[in-house]
Amino acid sequence: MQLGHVAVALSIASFAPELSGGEVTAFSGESIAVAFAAHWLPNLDGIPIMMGLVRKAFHCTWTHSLLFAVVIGLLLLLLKPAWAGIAFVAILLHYLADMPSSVGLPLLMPLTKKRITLNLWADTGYFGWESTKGTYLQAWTWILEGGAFLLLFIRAYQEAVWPFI
Amino acid sequence: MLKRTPVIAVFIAALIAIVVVYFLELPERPFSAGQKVLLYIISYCVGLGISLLFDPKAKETKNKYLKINFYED
Repeated sequence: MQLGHVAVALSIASFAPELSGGEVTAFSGESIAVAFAAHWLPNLDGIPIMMGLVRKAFHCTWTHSLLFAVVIGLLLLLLKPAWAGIAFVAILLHYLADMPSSVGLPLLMPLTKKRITLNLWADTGYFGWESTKGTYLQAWTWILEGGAFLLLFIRAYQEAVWPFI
Repeated sequence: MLKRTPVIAVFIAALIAIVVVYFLELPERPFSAGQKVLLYIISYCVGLGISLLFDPKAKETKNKYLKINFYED
Protein backbone atom coordinates (compact mmCIF):
# COMPACT_ATOMS: atom_id res chain seq x y z
CA MET A 1 0.00 0.00 0.00
CA GLN A 2 1.36 3.43 -0.90
CA LEU A 3 -1.10 6.38 -1.06
CA GLY A 4 -3.54 4.40 1.05
CA HIS A 5 -1.26 4.89 4.07
CA VAL A 6 -2.31 8.57 4.07
CA ALA A 7 -5.99 7.62 4.30
CA VAL A 8 -5.30 5.01 6.98
CA ALA A 9 -3.31 7.48 9.11
CA LEU A 10 -6.01 10.15 8.82
CA SER A 11 -8.71 7.57 9.64
CA ILE A 12 -6.79 6.63 12.79
CA ALA A 13 -6.69 10.34 13.69
CA SER A 14 -10.49 10.36 13.41
CA PHE A 15 -10.63 7.80 16.24
CA ALA A 16 -8.20 9.73 18.46
CA PRO A 17 -10.71 10.35 21.32
CA GLU A 18 -11.45 6.61 21.59
CA LEU A 19 -7.74 5.71 21.40
CA SER A 20 -6.50 8.35 23.84
CA GLY A 21 -9.16 8.10 26.54
CA GLY A 22 -10.72 11.35 25.36
CA GLU A 23 -7.53 13.40 25.73
CA VAL A 24 -6.92 14.02 22.02
CA THR A 25 -9.55 15.45 19.67
CA ALA A 26 -10.47 13.73 16.40
CA PHE A 27 -8.74 15.22 13.35
CA SER A 28 -6.82 17.71 15.54
CA GLY A 29 -3.29 18.68 14.53
CA GLU A 30 -1.99 16.61 17.44
CA SER A 31 -3.95 13.47 16.48
CA ILE A 32 -2.90 13.75 12.83
CA ALA A 33 0.77 14.31 13.71
CA VAL A 34 0.89 11.33 16.11
CA ALA A 35 -1.02 9.03 13.75
CA PHE A 36 1.16 9.97 10.75
CA ALA A 37 4.45 9.73 12.64
CA ALA A 38 3.61 6.35 14.17
CA HIS A 39 2.09 4.99 10.98
CA TRP A 40 5.26 5.79 9.00
CA LEU A 41 7.70 4.81 11.74
CA PRO A 42 8.15 1.20 10.51
CA ASN A 43 9.26 2.46 7.09
CA LEU A 44 12.17 4.43 8.54
CA ASP A 45 14.16 1.24 7.99
CA GLY A 46 14.51 2.51 4.42
CA ILE A 47 16.86 5.31 5.57
CA PRO A 48 19.82 3.14 6.67
CA ILE A 49 19.32 1.10 3.48
CA MET A 50 19.50 4.20 1.28
CA MET A 51 22.57 5.39 3.25
CA GLY A 52 24.20 2.03 2.54
CA LEU A 53 24.56 1.20 6.23
CA VAL A 54 22.61 -2.06 6.03
CA ARG A 55 21.63 -4.56 3.34
CA LYS A 56 18.39 -4.20 1.36
CA ALA A 57 17.09 -7.33 3.07
CA PHE A 58 16.83 -5.25 6.27
CA HIS A 59 13.61 -3.67 4.91
CA CYS A 60 10.44 -5.03 6.52
CA THR A 61 12.19 -6.94 9.29
CA TRP A 62 12.63 -5.63 12.87
CA THR A 63 10.53 -2.50 12.35
CA HIS A 64 7.70 -4.64 11.01
CA SER A 65 7.44 -6.99 13.99
CA LEU A 66 4.87 -7.01 16.80
CA LEU A 67 7.74 -6.54 19.23
CA PHE A 68 8.51 -3.14 17.65
CA ALA A 69 4.86 -2.04 18.03
CA VAL A 70 4.80 -3.14 21.67
CA VAL A 71 8.12 -1.40 22.48
CA ILE A 72 6.98 1.89 20.90
CA GLY A 73 3.59 1.60 22.63
CA LEU A 74 5.22 0.99 26.04
CA LEU A 75 7.72 3.82 25.56
CA LEU A 76 4.91 6.24 24.79
CA LEU A 77 2.88 4.89 27.71
CA LEU A 78 5.71 6.11 29.95
CA LEU A 79 6.38 9.40 28.13
CA LYS A 80 2.97 10.50 26.81
CA PRO A 81 0.15 8.05 27.69
CA ALA A 82 -2.43 9.87 25.55
CA TRP A 83 -0.41 9.10 22.44
CA ALA A 84 0.32 5.44 23.22
CA GLY A 85 -3.00 4.02 22.00
CA ILE A 86 -2.99 6.09 18.82
CA ALA A 87 0.60 5.13 18.01
CA PHE A 88 0.12 1.44 18.81
CA VAL A 89 -2.95 1.16 16.57
CA ALA A 90 -1.23 3.24 13.86
CA ILE A 91 1.74 0.84 13.78
CA LEU A 92 -0.50 -2.25 13.81
CA LEU A 93 -2.53 -0.85 10.92
CA HIS A 94 0.71 -0.17 9.04
CA TYR A 95 1.43 -3.89 9.34
CA LEU A 96 -2.11 -4.76 8.24
CA ALA A 97 -1.72 -2.45 5.23
CA ASP A 98 1.60 -4.12 4.30
CA MET A 99 0.48 -7.70 4.81
CA PRO A 100 -1.36 -8.05 1.46
CA SER A 101 2.04 -7.68 -0.22
CA SER A 102 3.74 -10.89 -1.37
CA VAL A 103 6.91 -10.07 0.59
CA GLY A 104 5.12 -10.66 3.92
CA LEU A 105 6.06 -9.46 7.38
CA PRO A 106 8.07 -11.28 10.07
CA LEU A 107 5.53 -10.30 12.73
CA LEU A 108 6.81 -12.77 15.30
CA MET A 109 10.50 -11.76 15.15
CA PRO A 110 12.69 -12.62 17.03
CA LEU A 111 10.82 -15.89 17.77
CA THR A 112 10.71 -16.78 14.10
CA LYS A 113 11.71 -15.10 10.83
CA LYS A 114 8.74 -16.67 9.03
CA ARG A 115 6.98 -14.02 6.96
CA ILE A 116 3.21 -13.77 7.16
CA THR A 117 1.44 -12.56 4.02
CA LEU A 118 -2.08 -12.33 2.60
CA ASN A 119 -0.46 -12.41 -0.88
CA LEU A 120 -3.08 -10.20 -2.52
CA TRP A 121 -0.54 -8.27 -4.61
CA ALA A 122 3.04 -8.76 -5.72
CA ASP A 123 5.66 -6.67 -3.98
CA THR A 124 7.14 -4.01 -6.28
CA GLY A 125 10.01 -2.77 -4.12
CA TYR A 126 9.87 0.09 -1.65
CA PHE A 127 10.96 3.16 -3.56
CA GLY A 128 10.70 4.88 -6.96
CA TRP A 129 8.55 5.01 -10.10
CA GLU A 130 8.80 1.28 -10.88
CA SER A 131 7.44 0.50 -7.44
CA THR A 132 4.53 2.94 -7.81
CA LYS A 133 3.63 1.84 -11.34
CA GLY A 134 3.73 -1.85 -10.47
CA THR A 135 1.59 -1.29 -7.38
CA TYR A 136 -1.22 0.49 -9.22
CA LEU A 137 -1.44 -2.05 -12.02
CA GLN A 138 -2.74 -4.65 -9.57
CA ALA A 139 -6.37 -5.18 -8.56
CA TRP A 140 -6.22 -5.42 -4.78
CA THR A 141 -4.22 -2.19 -4.51
CA TRP A 142 -7.22 -0.28 -5.84
CA ILE A 143 -9.69 -2.18 -3.69
CA LEU A 144 -7.85 -1.72 -0.41
CA GLU A 145 -6.47 1.79 -1.01
CA GLY A 146 -9.85 2.92 -2.39
CA GLY A 147 -11.47 1.29 0.63
CA ALA A 148 -9.16 3.22 2.95
CA PHE A 149 -10.13 6.51 1.30
CA LEU A 150 -13.80 5.50 1.44
CA LEU A 151 -13.44 4.93 5.19
CA LEU A 152 -11.76 8.33 5.52
CA PHE A 153 -14.60 9.96 3.55
CA ILE A 154 -17.17 8.37 5.89
CA ARG A 155 -15.24 9.34 9.03
CA ALA A 156 -14.84 12.94 7.82
CA TYR A 157 -18.60 13.07 7.18
CA GLN A 158 -19.44 11.59 10.59
CA GLU A 159 -17.07 13.97 12.39
CA ALA A 160 -18.27 16.90 10.24
CA VAL A 161 -14.82 18.07 9.16
CA TRP A 162 -13.76 19.35 5.74
CA PRO A 163 -15.25 18.87 3.14
CA PHE A 164 -18.37 18.30 5.24
CA ILE A 165 -18.44 21.55 7.23
CA MET B 1 -6.18 -3.40 -19.14
CA LEU B 2 -9.16 -4.67 -21.09
CA LYS B 3 -11.57 -2.08 -22.54
CA ARG B 4 -14.46 -3.48 -20.51
CA THR B 5 -12.63 -3.10 -17.16
CA PRO B 6 -13.12 0.68 -16.60
CA VAL B 7 -16.69 0.39 -17.94
CA ILE B 8 -17.63 -2.31 -15.45
CA ALA B 9 -16.04 -0.16 -12.74
CA VAL B 10 -18.52 2.66 -13.54
CA PHE B 11 -21.41 0.45 -12.49
CA ILE B 12 -19.69 -1.07 -9.46
CA ALA B 13 -18.79 2.45 -8.28
CA ALA B 14 -22.40 3.55 -8.61
CA LEU B 15 -23.50 0.57 -6.52
CA ILE B 16 -20.94 1.32 -3.79
CA ALA B 17 -21.86 5.02 -3.71
CA ILE B 18 -25.59 4.21 -3.48
CA VAL B 19 -24.98 1.79 -0.59
CA VAL B 20 -22.91 4.41 1.30
CA VAL B 21 -25.54 7.13 0.79
CA TYR B 22 -28.41 4.79 1.69
CA PHE B 23 -26.90 3.49 4.92
CA LEU B 24 -24.76 6.38 6.16
CA GLU B 25 -26.33 9.67 5.04
CA LEU B 26 -27.86 11.56 7.95
CA PRO B 27 -31.28 13.12 7.18
CA GLU B 28 -30.31 16.35 8.94
CA ARG B 29 -27.01 16.58 6.99
CA PRO B 30 -27.56 15.31 3.43
CA PHE B 31 -24.56 15.11 1.09
CA SER B 32 -24.16 18.07 -1.26
CA ALA B 33 -23.73 17.47 -5.00
CA GLY B 34 -19.97 18.06 -4.71
CA GLN B 35 -19.67 15.58 -1.86
CA LYS B 36 -21.58 13.00 -3.88
CA VAL B 37 -19.18 13.53 -6.80
CA LEU B 38 -16.23 13.01 -4.45
CA LEU B 39 -17.88 9.88 -3.06
CA TYR B 40 -18.36 8.55 -6.58
CA ILE B 41 -14.71 9.21 -7.51
CA ILE B 42 -13.50 7.31 -4.43
CA SER B 43 -15.99 4.52 -5.08
CA TYR B 44 -14.71 4.33 -8.65
CA CYS B 45 -11.22 3.43 -7.34
CA VAL B 46 -12.70 0.52 -5.39
CA GLY B 47 -14.85 -0.43 -8.38
CA LEU B 48 -11.84 -0.38 -10.67
CA GLY B 49 -10.02 -2.77 -8.34
CA ILE B 50 -13.00 -5.14 -8.26
CA SER B 51 -13.27 -5.14 -12.04
CA LEU B 52 -9.47 -5.60 -12.35
CA LEU B 53 -9.91 -8.89 -10.49
CA PHE B 54 -11.49 -10.20 -13.70
CA ASP B 55 -8.85 -8.67 -15.99
CA PRO B 56 -6.07 -11.05 -17.13
CA LYS B 57 -3.65 -8.13 -17.62
CA ALA B 58 -3.72 -7.39 -13.88
CA LYS B 59 -2.92 -11.03 -13.13
CA GLU B 60 -0.04 -10.90 -15.65
CA THR B 61 1.37 -7.86 -13.87
CA LYS B 62 1.19 -9.59 -10.51
CA ASN B 63 2.92 -12.68 -11.90
CA LYS B 64 5.61 -10.52 -13.52
CA TYR B 65 6.49 -8.79 -10.24
CA LEU B 66 6.31 -12.03 -8.25
CA LYS B 67 9.40 -13.18 -10.16
CA ILE B 68 11.50 -10.21 -9.02
CA ASN B 69 13.27 -10.05 -5.67
CA PHE B 70 13.77 -6.35 -4.86
CA TYR B 71 15.73 -7.08 -1.72
CA GLU B 72 18.77 -8.77 -3.21
CA ASP B 73 21.98 -6.76 -2.86
